[in-house]
Amino acid sequence: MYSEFFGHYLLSHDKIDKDIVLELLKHEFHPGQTPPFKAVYHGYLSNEEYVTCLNEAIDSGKPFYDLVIEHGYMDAEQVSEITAEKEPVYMQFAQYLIDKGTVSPTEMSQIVADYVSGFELVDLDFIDEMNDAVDRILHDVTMITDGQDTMLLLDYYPLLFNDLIRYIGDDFTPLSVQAFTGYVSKICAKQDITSTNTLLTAIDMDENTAIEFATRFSSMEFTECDEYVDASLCDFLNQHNGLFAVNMANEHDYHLSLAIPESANYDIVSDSGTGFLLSVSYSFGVVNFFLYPH
Amino acid sequence: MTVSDIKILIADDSILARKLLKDTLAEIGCANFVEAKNGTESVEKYESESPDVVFLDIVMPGINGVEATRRIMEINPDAFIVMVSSVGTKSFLQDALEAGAKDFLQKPFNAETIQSIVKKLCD
Repeated sequence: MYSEFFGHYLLSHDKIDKDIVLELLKHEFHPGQTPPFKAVYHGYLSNEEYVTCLNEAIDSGKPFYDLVIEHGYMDAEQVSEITAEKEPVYMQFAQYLIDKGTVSPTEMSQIVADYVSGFELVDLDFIDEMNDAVDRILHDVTMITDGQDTMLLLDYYPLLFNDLIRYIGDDFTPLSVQAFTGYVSKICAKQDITSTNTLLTAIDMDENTAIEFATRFSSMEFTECDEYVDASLCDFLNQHNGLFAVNMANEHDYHLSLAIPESANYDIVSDSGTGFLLSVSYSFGVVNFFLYPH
Repeated sequence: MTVSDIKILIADDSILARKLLKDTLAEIGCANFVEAKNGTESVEKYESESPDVVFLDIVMPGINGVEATRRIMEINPDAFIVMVSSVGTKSFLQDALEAGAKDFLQKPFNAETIQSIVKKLCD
């Protein structure tokens, strides 16, 4: 999972001209063969060896990786390993830019390595005790959901735990996840995420918990539940859902739209259909997250 | 032009986001701020206040930040607009750049990045 879309990373770090980034964004990518660049990225080929095999592949019509093996640069097992990996979208972007001649394969290897090391959110952030609790939650998800809902929650929750650590703190324990019909809120922010379907997301807690949550999130001091506290919950939810959208785009090339987050204090968030309620316990109170795919 | 002279328009529907951005820029001496709570107001404020730089959220009530950018660019093709958004996806980035934004920052923004954008305008 990454905190920044690769295309944006290229732009914001002055790696590539704005015009070329635009061209890249407009290009239609189709999942297919493993990008030849990947062999360079994994350290198997130099620029020259890459060019040699690529030119031969073009001239002969032979698959690139067959030629890599023929030349002795990689063996069949190594090729099998890297071609079996699921292809993140940023690898296709990288290949596109190399094919355009914008950067060399070794230059792109460094760019990708910097991106991965700088912006990857890894599960290593979880402390040991939390790992067990997170594993339990994710297991419970598979028990109470099926199909698309399962995949959705298994994508959403780990990122949520990471964002709680980043923005609020790691002193929490995931309590439970349960199927839920109908939800009435206390201090709450909600936001719809849409693609082919809609996912209602909401964060909810009591007043004292909300004050501390907002204090931690904004690094400002709050003493009452005011519009800034409401805005803090909305902004946390918006930021987390934004990150979720970036990762779905990066990893699955899946486009999500976010509606404007809004406060929904003391309201009926959902009165029908089955949603999923995740509760986490912080030292200052319990924070609930409600997801309702519909 | 010094940092304190620069007029900055901050357009975001979140009162917290506007305050955090203001506070970040105030740290380097910025003092001349205009605020807007939605896309329509951001265009109106641009027209009436002529800010030197605009920090514009994308997802806002009324017209969104991308449409607001297009309208501001019609008022002034040299407008310096920086999109600041929680959603840094391919489509949003593409829309922002095509509309005329000079830069795109994903939230949570890095304070030094925001500050350096404003400092460069003084050079």
